[in-house]
Amino acid sequence: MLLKRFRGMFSNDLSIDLGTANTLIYARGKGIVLNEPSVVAIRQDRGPGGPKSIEAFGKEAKGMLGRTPQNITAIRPMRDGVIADFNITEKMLQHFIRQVHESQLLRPSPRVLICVPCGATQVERRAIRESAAGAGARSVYLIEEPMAAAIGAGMPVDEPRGSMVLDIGGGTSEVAVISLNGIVYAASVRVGGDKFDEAIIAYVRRNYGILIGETTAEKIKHEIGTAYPGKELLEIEVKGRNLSEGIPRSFSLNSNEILEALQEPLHGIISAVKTALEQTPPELGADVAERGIVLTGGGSLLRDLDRLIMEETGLPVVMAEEPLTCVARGGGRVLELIDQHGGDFLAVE
Amino acid sequence: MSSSNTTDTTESASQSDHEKAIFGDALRQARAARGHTITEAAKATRLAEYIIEAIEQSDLNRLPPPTFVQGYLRTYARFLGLSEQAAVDNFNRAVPYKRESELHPRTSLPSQTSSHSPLIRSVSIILAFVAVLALSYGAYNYYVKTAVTIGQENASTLARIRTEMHDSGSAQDLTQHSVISEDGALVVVAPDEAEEIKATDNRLSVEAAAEAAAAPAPVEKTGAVASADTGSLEVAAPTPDLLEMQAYGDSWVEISDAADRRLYHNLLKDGHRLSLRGLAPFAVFLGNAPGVEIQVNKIKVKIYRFIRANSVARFSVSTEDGSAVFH
Repeated sequence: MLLKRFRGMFSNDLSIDLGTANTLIYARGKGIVLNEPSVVAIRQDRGPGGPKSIEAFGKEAKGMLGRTPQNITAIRPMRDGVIADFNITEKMLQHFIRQVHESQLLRPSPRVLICVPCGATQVERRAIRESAAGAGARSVYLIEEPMAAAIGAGMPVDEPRGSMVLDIGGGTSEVAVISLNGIVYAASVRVGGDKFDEAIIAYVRRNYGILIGETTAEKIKHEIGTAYPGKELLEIEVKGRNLSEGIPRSFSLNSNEILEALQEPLHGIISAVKTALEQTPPELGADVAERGIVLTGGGSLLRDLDRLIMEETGLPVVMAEEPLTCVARGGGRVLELIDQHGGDFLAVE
Repeated sequence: MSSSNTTDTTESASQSDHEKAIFGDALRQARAARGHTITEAAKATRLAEYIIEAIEQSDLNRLPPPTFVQGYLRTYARFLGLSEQAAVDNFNRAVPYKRESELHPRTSLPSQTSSHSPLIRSVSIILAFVAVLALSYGAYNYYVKTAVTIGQENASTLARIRTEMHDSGSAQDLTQHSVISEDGALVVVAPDEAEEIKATDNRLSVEAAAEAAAAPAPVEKTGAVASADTGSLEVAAPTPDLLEMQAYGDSWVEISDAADRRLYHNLLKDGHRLSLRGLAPFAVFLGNAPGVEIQVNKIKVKIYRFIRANSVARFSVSTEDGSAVFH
């Protein structure tokens, strides 16, 4: 205990956005110090049951996704915003925490604030807490993701005025109405960037009879993915395995096709927003109607997503600046406030 | 100096006013050029009319926090076919302050001093360490002093015993911290060596007093002279047998001598030593015999065969010609 505190003196306070797709770390007083994909590559030599070792983390491991030989598996330890593989998550956190500390002399023992989806169960929350503690954290605080996102986006969450935030992450989308530092309504749907990728894979397979990988699907989404019919038609040339011939083939996709492919996951998000608006108390609903919905998270970078939500709800929609880092930055702000004011924003387990 | 300051402020103020006017004006001019009314713009962008007006007039007082305004500007610029980023950049240049709204937690706890500073932490840890050292030094000093006081008390008690023996012919009940006396036999228990050294003088005198007590005719010992100050005692009397014990574990001990006097009847604590004088053979009862070492007249007594399964041993021992004899 004492040793932990001692090591803590040489550690930064960290706010971690442990996302399905990316892990971001915000160090107090330094800003965003790490932004890596939440991917770990594991090497297991000498067949099943042999000793396991970590081959790579982050970007390097992401490059291996779907391209590994038998003895290496590149896995994403987070699924749907929660931990799917406890031990690997712990290892990954440990690696990232060490990476953001320059000093190699002492094992870092920082205070850590981690964001959890508001839909996470008690067991899932505890798993996240335990894995952070196992990764060497001196103390672990949890915060609801939409709360962190709203703070990171610069929304006036402390006012007695409703603010609606929609955080579209890799695994989950969270919609919440916040007033007076508290969450009035929150909902989490397990639809996010991953579901977009899956929808694209399924679409290509159905309509072209061609199998593409997750990485290719993500590339398609980034380059021509759109949520609302636009003026210009974008095209991309991709390669995949033709299922009937079994041979890799090249083909082209346009943005209207991707729009069609994304209809189902987009509908999931829209209906979550509509449900939230229905459930919001009228006074707060009026505030939201006046000021609009704020979009954060990597998923909100999908072209014209704000337009789609605006058309569907009839409310103004505002994209946050730097939506990818909102959650981590918001967590960082809260970490700074903990010392002064105590944990007003923190989630209960 | 002050005048230059004033000019600076006015300059910057006018500059920011100017820029504000530009970012509002550009949008208003673009809207006018396209022939849209504010109502049309509001309908298309889903923004309230007053917000569009406030944006065009750069009236920050009527606008929500910057996060929202940036989003509104993007939407409005897109509607007008202008560059979204340019509109936001213009705004950020005009309103460089307060990029993030202030947060005020509702429950303001009594402000905790931030113990985050490494300097404060290391200093406090060092202070705590020093305090612990000082405390342990104080405790050690107190312990040593107490031991010395007990030694002096014992010496004075001896003097009292001696005078009482003169009066009544037998030793009275005598109990001290480390001195236990029953039926005239005296016991010295030394908890550790440090105390043993301090109490050496005292022990000598106690043993001497024991000799005096065990002697059949104490009245004859008129020549005995005791000095309470030095703790030395000269006794001219026949030496009775000496029984010594060392405990390596708590053990109950009962010892009686040949005259059926109960010399000791108490718990002997781990690490304590016991010296008794009396007439052999001694009847010994040990509660935890494996943890006790016994010497009679400086001869080691092997008691293994008396130890029963429950560690209890009961025997009676004396010495003859330099070896232990059991009865």
